[in-house]
This record gives sequence, C-alpha cells and structure tokens, in this order.
Amino acid sequence: MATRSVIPFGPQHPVLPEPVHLDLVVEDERVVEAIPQIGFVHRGLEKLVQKRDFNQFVYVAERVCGICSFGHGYGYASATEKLMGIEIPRRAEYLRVILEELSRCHSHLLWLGLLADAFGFEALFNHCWRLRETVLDIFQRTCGARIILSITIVGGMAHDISDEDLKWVCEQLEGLKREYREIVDTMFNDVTVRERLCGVGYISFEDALELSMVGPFAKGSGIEHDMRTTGYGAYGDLEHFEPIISTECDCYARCKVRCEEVFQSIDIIEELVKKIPHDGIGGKPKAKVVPEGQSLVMIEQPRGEAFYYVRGNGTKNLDRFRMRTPTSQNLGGLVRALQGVDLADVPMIILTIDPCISCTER
Amino acid sequence: MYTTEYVTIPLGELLTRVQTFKYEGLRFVQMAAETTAQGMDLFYTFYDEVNDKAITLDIYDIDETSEVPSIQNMYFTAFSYENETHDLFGVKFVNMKLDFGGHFFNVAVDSPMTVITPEQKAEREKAAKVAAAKAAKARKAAEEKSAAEADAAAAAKIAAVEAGKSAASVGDVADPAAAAAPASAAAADAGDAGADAPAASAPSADDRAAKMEAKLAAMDPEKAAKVRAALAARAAKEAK
Repeated sequence: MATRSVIPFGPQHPVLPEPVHLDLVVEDERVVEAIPQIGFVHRGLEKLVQKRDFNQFVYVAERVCGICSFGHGYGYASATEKLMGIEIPRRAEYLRVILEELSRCHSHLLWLGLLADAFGFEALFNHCWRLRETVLDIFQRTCGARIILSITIVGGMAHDISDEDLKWVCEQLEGLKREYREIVDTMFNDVTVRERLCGVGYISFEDALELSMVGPFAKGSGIEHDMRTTGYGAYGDLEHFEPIISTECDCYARCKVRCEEVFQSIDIIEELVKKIPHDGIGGKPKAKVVPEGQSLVMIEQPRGEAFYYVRGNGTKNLDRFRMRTPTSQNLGGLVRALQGVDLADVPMIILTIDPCISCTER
Repeated sequence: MYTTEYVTIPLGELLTRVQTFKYEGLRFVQMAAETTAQGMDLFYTFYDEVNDKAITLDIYDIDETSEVPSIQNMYFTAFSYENETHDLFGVKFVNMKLDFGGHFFNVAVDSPMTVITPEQKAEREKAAKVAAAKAAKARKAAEEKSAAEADAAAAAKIAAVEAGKSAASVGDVADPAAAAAPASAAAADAGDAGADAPAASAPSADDRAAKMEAKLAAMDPEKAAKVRAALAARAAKEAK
C-alpha cells in the first residue's frame, strides 16, 4: 500500500510570484488532494472604501494588484457610475477598453514568461518580458505611468490620449504581433513544452461548468463564457467578437487560449482606434455624494470574469465595495485539477491557472 | 449588455432559491457579507447565461448567532467564499463540504472585516450619547414633576399650620389648650387640611417654625424663597 504524506507547497516557492500555500496530500509521487490556504497578503482594501471618498477610492482599487491594476479601477469606476446614473462619453469607453486590452497583452506576456521560466525555457522568458516592455512603454507614453496608470476616474478619464498617440500605439503593436507570433510558434512546436503540458492538469468541460470556472482556465476546457460577448463598454461596437476556446482541457489548451488572446486583443485595439469617436472624455461628477442603493458590474479581466459591487448610503463614502476576482472563482478548479497528478506537474498546473493572489486576498 | 436583478429573501429561503438556480443552470458568481449597525448582510450572485442576467440574493440583518446553510453541495466553488466570509466576518456556516475551520485566511485578528472605522464608531457613540441624554432628560422631568407635587403638598400643610395658628390665637383667651389642638392635628396629617380631629399634645410654635425651616432648607432654594414670601405675605395680611 502506498504511503500517504503531506508536502507543503509554498507560500514561498520558485514558481510562485505571490504567496499561496498548498498542502499536497501525496501517495508516493501522486497527489491525492490539495488543500489551499491564503491570507498571507490580506490588506483589507475593501474595507478602506468606508474611509476614502468615492473619487479617491479608484486609486485604492487600482492598487489591489499590479498586473490587473487598470481593470480594477475600470470595474470600480463603472460600478460607481452605474450607481450614480452617470453615462460617460463614448470616447472614454473606447479608451478604457483599449487600455484594458493592452493590460491583457501585458498580463499574458508576463504569465508566459513566468511559465517558460518555471520549466527552464529561459530564452522564451527573456523574449516574453522584452515584448512586455513594449506594452509598458505604450502605457508610459499614453498615461505617464508603466503599471499603476491612474487614468480612470469616476465619470470618465483623467486625460485624453491623442489620435497621434493612438496611431503610434497601433504601430508598436504591429511590431509586437510579428515578434510574438514567432515566439508562440516556437513554443507550441517545442517537444519539451508539449511533453510538459499536453494531457497534464485535465479538467473536463463538465467539471469546468460544475465549478463555475472563468477565464482562460474555463476556455481551455471548451467553455465559451466571456463577459466581452455581452457588449459592455465599447465591446458592443466591435464588428465581431468570439471568445477563443480550446477543447483539449489540459495545460496546453490553456496556454494556447492565452497566447491567442494576445493577438485578439491587438485586433480589438486596432479596430477601436479606427472607430474612436471625439465626444470628450468626461470628468469628475458634480455630485458630491453617492446615492443610496447598490450596483454591480462584471468585466473580463485577463484571468477571466471579475465582479465589482458597490453599495451607497447617501454620503461621499460607500458602505461596501466588493471585488471578486477570477482567481477566487478558479480555486475550486485548481483543487480539482491537482487531484491525481504527478507531484512534478504541480508547478505547471498552478502556472497555467495563472493565480493572482493579491487580487484574491485584497 | 447584461441586466441585473436584486432579490431580498429571508435566510430560511436561501437553500430553496439556490436549488432552483442550480436546477435552472445558473452559474455561481460570488457571495459576500457586510456588517451593519443592525447585524450582518449576505449577498449571493448568480449569472443566467441564457438571458444574460446577474441575479443577486440579498439577505439582510442576520444576527451573529445565525447559522447560515452552506451551498457547497450545490456549488462546490462556494467553498472559498464561505470560508473567507467565516474567517473575515465571523459568519457561522453549517454543513460545509470543505471547512477549513477558520484557517483558510491566515489573518492575525479574528473577523477583521467586522472592525468598524473610527468614523463609524464615533457616529455610533454619538447616537448612543444622544439617546442617553434624551433618557436622562426624561428622567429629570419626571423627578421634577414629582418634586413639584411634593412641594404643593408641603405648601398645603404650611397653609394648614398657619390656619391652625390663627385659630389658636383667636381662642387663646378662652382656652389655650383647646386652641392648640387643631394646629397639632393639621401638622400630624398632611392630607387633611381641615384639621377636624383635635389632639391632646400639640407642638409649640417654635417647634413648628423649626420643622418648617427644616423643610424649607431641604427644598429647592428658589421654591423655598417663594414659599417664604408667600408665608410672609399671608402673615402680613393676617396681621392687618
């Protein structure tokens, strides 16, 4: 009979950029059960909404996480605008979506670099992070910052991005697309990569549905759920949008989805830049208080569907801000995906889920 | 664009609603809690992919001792939210499939999200102080009312004493002992100003004056002054 033992994985581990702990119950080399524990970087940022007024809090929301920063500000601002009954100009909506798609490119390039580094493909890691710099340079020129952009405000955008800059963004992305295609083709045709990823961390379509999984983790199992299909923001103005899915249900499928999403994001940005209207960017609302009531907004972050909820009490401070990030939703899938796998595959599986612990703990 | 709907339900209806949603194929989105002055609010969100609708179940004002049924049997992914809500808000869940026993979030303080802000604390303390001041004012008003009634009774006694004294001085020539009797009866029975029951042993005028002084000393100074003035006026009138 196999010996059963518990191996602690994390909170500090070479493949984990953020602290999460897993107790891996193993029989010989096979994982029987994985028990997660989080809370190492819990900051109580949701509670801070009671001390900062609704205009200030957008900057707090952006600081929940460095990778999903823009999306959090976007989600919070949208939920607050919805509660206050503010309709922002279309140009502001377009700019937000363009920046959100750039954030997706930045997040996926960062993730691919980390994955490559985890299985020793360091040349790929270097190239991914070099290409990511292109996106960060775009942020720097258009927003004045590289990570925490602070361009979103409740009621619109803090400043405009000129048409010349948007044209320059498209030129930069054209170059990025060409180079990224070469990298992706190299990666997916590499024997070692296929060996490490194909058939590993299998999550069936039924399980993904049962566990309400979101983002590339779910799309890699054939689930077509993507909030962008609902047409929020400027997504409704796209000629055509179809989520990228894969039906192999393994780590390789999840990687393919993420890599293809970068190309899709670049296409979306190019289309929106061509169509962007010139009706202003809005500004801070005249109202000094948020009315009583509640509102929620769901957007598609790089890791999947994110949920933002605000509750107003008739003062300048909100009663409650709730942020549910994709990683929280995918923890059930992570636990399921790790059952029955080889111990050596655990880092790969965790990385293909791309957990964001800062977002999860807030 | 998706639509949103908020439904307020009692805690007892939660499982039935969630079972219906599961049967209808809704996707579980999230659950969360919030502390209020009245207790705790819970809200569960589900997403209807067919109609692109987000439905939120609001459960308001559950108290700290309430036991919330777990929905993990229907939506396993709720385990992270239920354990989080337990660890951060102290909400008690029952029948949890995966229960971390308070060790899912590695936080140093129990239920850190229930700690209220200084502003909230100040607001609640201010409200408590206002309520206490209101109660104290009501209590003082009641006391003053009863004191005024007692004063009125005392004034009536004094009047009775003075009346007895006048009667005694009128009959002093004939029978001093008989004249003192009505005054003594008036002093003995405060409620009986008529003093129709004569008594054999009556206190002297000095005793009565001393008793009156003691009463006046115990009174509110303003009222005592008024009583003194009234007595003096009466005495002057009678002297005329």
